[in-house]
Amino acid sequence: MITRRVEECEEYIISGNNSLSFQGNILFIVLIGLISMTIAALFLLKGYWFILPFAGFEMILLAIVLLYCCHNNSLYEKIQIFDETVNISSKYRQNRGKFEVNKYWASVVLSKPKLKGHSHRLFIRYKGREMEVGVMLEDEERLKLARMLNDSLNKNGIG
Amino acid sequence: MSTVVKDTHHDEHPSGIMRWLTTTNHKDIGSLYLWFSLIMFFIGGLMALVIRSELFQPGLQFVDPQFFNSMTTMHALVMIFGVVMPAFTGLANWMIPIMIGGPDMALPRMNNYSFWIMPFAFSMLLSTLFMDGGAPAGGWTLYPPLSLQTGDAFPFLIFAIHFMGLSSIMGAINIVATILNMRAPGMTLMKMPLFVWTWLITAFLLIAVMPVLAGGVTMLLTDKFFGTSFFNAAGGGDPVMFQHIFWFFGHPEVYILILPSFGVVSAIIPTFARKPLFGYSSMVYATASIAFLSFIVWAHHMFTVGMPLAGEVFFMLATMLIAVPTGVKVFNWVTTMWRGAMTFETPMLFAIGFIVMFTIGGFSGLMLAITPADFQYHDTYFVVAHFHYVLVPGSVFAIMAAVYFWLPKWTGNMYPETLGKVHFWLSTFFVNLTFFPMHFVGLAGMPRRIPDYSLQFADYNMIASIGAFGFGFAQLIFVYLIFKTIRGGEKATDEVWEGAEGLEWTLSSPPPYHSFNTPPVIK
Repeated sequence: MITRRVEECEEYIISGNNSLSFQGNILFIVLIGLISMTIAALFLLKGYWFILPFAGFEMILLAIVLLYCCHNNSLYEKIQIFDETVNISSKYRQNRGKFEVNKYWASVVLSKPKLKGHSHRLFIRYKGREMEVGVMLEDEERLKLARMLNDSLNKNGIG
Repeated sequence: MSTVVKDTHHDEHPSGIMRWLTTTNHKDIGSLYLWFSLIMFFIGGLMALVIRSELFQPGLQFVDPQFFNSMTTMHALVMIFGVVMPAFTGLANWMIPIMIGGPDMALPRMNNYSFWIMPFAFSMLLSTLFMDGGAPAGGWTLYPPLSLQTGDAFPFLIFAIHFMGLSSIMGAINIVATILNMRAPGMTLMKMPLFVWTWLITAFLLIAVMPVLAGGVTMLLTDKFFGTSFFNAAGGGDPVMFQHIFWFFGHPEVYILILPSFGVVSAIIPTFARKPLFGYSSMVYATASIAFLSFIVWAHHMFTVGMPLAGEVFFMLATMLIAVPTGVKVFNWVTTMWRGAMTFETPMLFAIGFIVMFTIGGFSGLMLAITPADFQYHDTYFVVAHFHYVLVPGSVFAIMAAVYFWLPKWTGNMYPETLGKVHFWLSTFFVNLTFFPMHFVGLAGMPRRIPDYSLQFADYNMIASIGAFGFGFAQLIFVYLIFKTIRGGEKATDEVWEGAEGLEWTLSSPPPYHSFNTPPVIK
């Protein structure tokens, strides 16, 4: 999902779609965990302890899955375009860090997929260094972002 | 500055067998589930026809009693775990991401694994038919000590159940993660289609009760092979406790099989009545109430084991309470149709058939809930009639309604309407011919799970057997119709049905390989 804001600078935030907050996910895990473990504990009290490890394994799997979703939801890329500079900050798996470039010398590079069916890759390049952006987007959105960045950097006839 | 833009290959995907083995696409996996379910429907159906052939007339005709009991056991396991559950999971895979405006399921790779475990589990289960001692014959409820007398098939049965459970759990967790985290902006919980709601609650039930089944069958395994005495009275165990454990899983399982049907019917009725669903919020709360009540009624399956009077009264009243939220649902569906501009295309016919016949099954359930009456009905054909009315014209009709409803969207082609209606009327006629007489033989005292019976039950059994064969052959029309629709036919519009509302109808027919690249805007 691309969110564009224009205030002090032109800002693009690229993030996943979080339809439930981290707290919401935790609440769900706790709620279903309480129910499941209560059931297992009641059977345990009667001596039928074999249900507990299965319930525990399942709750661990559920927690891993939902926390993985939360982790993915917390990933973002931020591109801020100021008058003179472009700041890119990213928190996406291997693609972490900050990259500050001079706006006039920054270029948007969209590389064609090498294999049929694969996606384009989008980079912002400056002085031979480059940083990939739009990693978490679908290909169509990535092309849209390329056009938007291109337009923004070209506003002053430079980019 | 350099910018390279070329056409994208959005709808490209691997082809051939590898597409299906390695796919992570929710539509492909949904289709796999649905095909698997259809194949298992015919395998389970053939087992039903073996049962009905044997019961066509009194005396032993075709199979020996051991094999007959294997057929009743395997028929139930196949139909429950191999047909109804995978069919609804298939529908969920196909429709939930589209209905909530998500790009795919939350964990596509896990989705692939959860499907491919299923054929493995069922191969293991069906292989028991060829083993020494035969396939499991102690009933799908696996009550010890009877089930412990199973021959070589026993460990295969237990591990098959474990794999089916694992697949269900992975599927349910994926569905929960998808519904909670992948909704499009603006798609709040109370804006979700009822089908998504019913699946969220179903997945919740699955997650809560599957460990109970897994633990229960593992204890059976250790009792048989490792000398434990969980259910062995001679070693200080309690065989009745297995019944408690089994039905603590088993009763919510009944709702796992029926709640998604409620979601399907709640999507179809408003479309063909051309009115919004009456009482959306009450439908959500009624579904949640049914799910809650399903945890506190399990012992109505075992009134005759002997339990304290207070226990019997509690479970009787709690069971009767389920009629309230279920009644709310039936009332809302009927009220949605009231003064609607109704048309009766095949999905609507199946949905109306569902309401009428599921209600018959519900009422016989109420009769069974009455403890003193249940003492008479227990283990008779009345029970068989009851749960078949809930599961065949209930769950199976809802699955068929869903297929007719969404098939034009999936394939881009309209199915032959007249043939669909013929399928509905034949199925309805024969399903009643099969299961309605079972009420009478049950009330007259015919016990279930027997290959031979007393002469006074002969006429109704003959009618039921004719009905079963008629129902079985009528399903060949369904298969023909599916193939015909996939191969071609009148092109479907994007909306398909005039009164259709929801995100799935905003996509093309058939939808693109990747549904929503950008999240849709929900008003």
